[in-house]
Amino acid sequence: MNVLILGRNEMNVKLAEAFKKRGYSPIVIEDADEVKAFRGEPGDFIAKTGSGEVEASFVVVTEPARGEPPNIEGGMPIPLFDDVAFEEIAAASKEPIVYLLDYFCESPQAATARALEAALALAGKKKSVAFIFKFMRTAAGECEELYRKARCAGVTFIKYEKINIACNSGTGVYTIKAQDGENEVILETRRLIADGGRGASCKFTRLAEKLRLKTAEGGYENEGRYFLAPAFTGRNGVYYLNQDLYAGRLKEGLDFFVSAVCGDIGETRPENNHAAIDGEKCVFCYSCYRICPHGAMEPGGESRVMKNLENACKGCGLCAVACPGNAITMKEDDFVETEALEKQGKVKLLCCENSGSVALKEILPGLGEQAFIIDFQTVACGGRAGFEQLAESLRSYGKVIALVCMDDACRHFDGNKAACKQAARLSFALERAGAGTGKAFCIKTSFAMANTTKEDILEVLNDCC
Amino acid sequence: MIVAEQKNIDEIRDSLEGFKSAVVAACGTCVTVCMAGGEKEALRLAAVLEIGARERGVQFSADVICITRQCDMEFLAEAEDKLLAAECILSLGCGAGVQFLAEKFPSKVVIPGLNTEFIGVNRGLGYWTEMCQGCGDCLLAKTGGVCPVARCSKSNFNGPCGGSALGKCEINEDTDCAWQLIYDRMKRLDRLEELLEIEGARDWRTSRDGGPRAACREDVR
Repeated sequence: MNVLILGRNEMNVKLAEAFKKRGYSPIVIEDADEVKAFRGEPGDFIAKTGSGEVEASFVVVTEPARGEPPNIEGGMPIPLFDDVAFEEIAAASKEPIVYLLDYFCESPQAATARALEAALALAGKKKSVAFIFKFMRTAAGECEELYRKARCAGVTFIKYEKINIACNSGTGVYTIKAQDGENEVILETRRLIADGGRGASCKFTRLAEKLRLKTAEGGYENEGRYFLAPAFTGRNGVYYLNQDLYAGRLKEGLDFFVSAVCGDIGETRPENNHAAIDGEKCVFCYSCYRICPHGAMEPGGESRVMKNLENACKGCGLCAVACPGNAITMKEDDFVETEALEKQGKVKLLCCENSGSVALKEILPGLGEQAFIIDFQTVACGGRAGFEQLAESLRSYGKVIALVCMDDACRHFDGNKAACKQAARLSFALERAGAGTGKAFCIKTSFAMANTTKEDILEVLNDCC
Repeated sequence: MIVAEQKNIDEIRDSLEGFKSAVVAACGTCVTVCMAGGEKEALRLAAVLEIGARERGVQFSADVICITRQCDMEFLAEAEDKLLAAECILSLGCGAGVQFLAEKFPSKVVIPGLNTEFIGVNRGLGYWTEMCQGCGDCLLAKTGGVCPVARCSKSNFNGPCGGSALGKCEINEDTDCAWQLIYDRMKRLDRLEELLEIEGARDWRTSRDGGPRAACREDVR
């Protein structure tokens, strides 16, 4: 099996050796711009280059993602986590230390843990520490405990949606305006530290676009990019070696990375559920191609019908909801079951298999008698809970709720947001059709939010029963 | 491609007043691609109308049919049985489709479910913009491939008006000034001097002003 290594990176040689040892044949393309086009699925990728086509079973991107620091008004760059001498800061500064968590190429979990540890260490030295973040993944592993400890140690956590950072180059004072909804917090400090959130380099961005690696909006440049886990990207069979993650322990890092990749390749594929396209109905509009978070839709060659790459598909069903021709069904469609399920309750709950169903397990016991009002069903992703699925539920239920991930937690990137939009559109349409208000809801949740989610669900239940 | 948008559902609901059932006719071409009137939207609309009626205590049912192209009679003929059996037809075709259905099924009430908007292009998932007004006398060769008829709010032919600022039109900041685009294109193509030529008064008879138009290919008739 060929492994295509893409990018200029000093780890390439060792990486190629490691793959060779495991029986793979590495092909290295150092200049990422050499790749003109890219298509295919795990086991069968084709990269078009200036000098011909390169076939590969899987792809490892090693091109460093980090670009230049953002332009801050006043011209001063923000010191980065790795470059900061913490002992010095801790000893010298009486000012508040503001820590900006704004990763783009680490996993949220890894970045959160790393940042929390640092904040905790600073707070331990009796420093005033403010921790500003767009998103933190606190609900997993060590993060939850670290988050609790940091709060107890007096670290102030400030969430933002929009951020503006200006710097007075004369005094070296940063003015940070963090906005979250209606609230705005303004902080002034000379001690601002950022955790890696720099925009991706142009070369990396170009490559990511060609490889159709789904990007998420965020970060203070609004171009922030991050992948869900170290080594994995949103696209099956395409992996990302983030050198920054393994600073100081390159050998172990490389071993970890190669085992993670080889383990993933060795997994049984495809996933049970994937999209099936009805060639008679497909109008070749590219909607599915555009919406697929995993690069799993491809033009079917001469047939002018879109093709699902089963080895790349992760079965989320976002394409099936988006397809205007109603040409896409999911092979193991959750909704086929619906008819078989005996209706007992008054409210239908569609929960995504990631956050929704996990949170529901925590919530149900606490609902008592009320739980019997709910009939619930797990769907692959909130994105599968489209307009028609929600409407279909309303044919036999008084209300329908889609229970989906929090932002940035969706395995399929924006499936949760899609569910919210679909529920909102359906509500609007139903109201206009004379069906009244309060029929379709979308609630974002995580397993750590069982209590608030329970309240949200009870509100809907009490309203109707 | 023809771009359309679904009508407000209350307007559709009002048009259906008095009918106990309807066939919702999707169209499988332009309006499917622009996510306004394809099979998916027809199914969604049917569900919403039925649930709405149920909640209001009104009897109403909707059946969905997808016609490949409502603007070609052979495809209408294919759907004849179902359409003739309908109490009324709710067409999700463009204005042409709605009218063709009304013409071919003269005994049926045909209700439009869409507002037909423009000829345009897709600029990404769920976003379309107007590019052509069908004026019948294309002058794109002279304007660097940017149409002043459709894309200039005033359809100016000899440069921008005073409302052009920083490349944007005065009607709103999301609309590019077509003449800025034309200038930039011609500059890039090194053909700026062609813009010095004054475009004279235009004969609008080729456009809507000459009345309903027809296109006729004698060689194939």
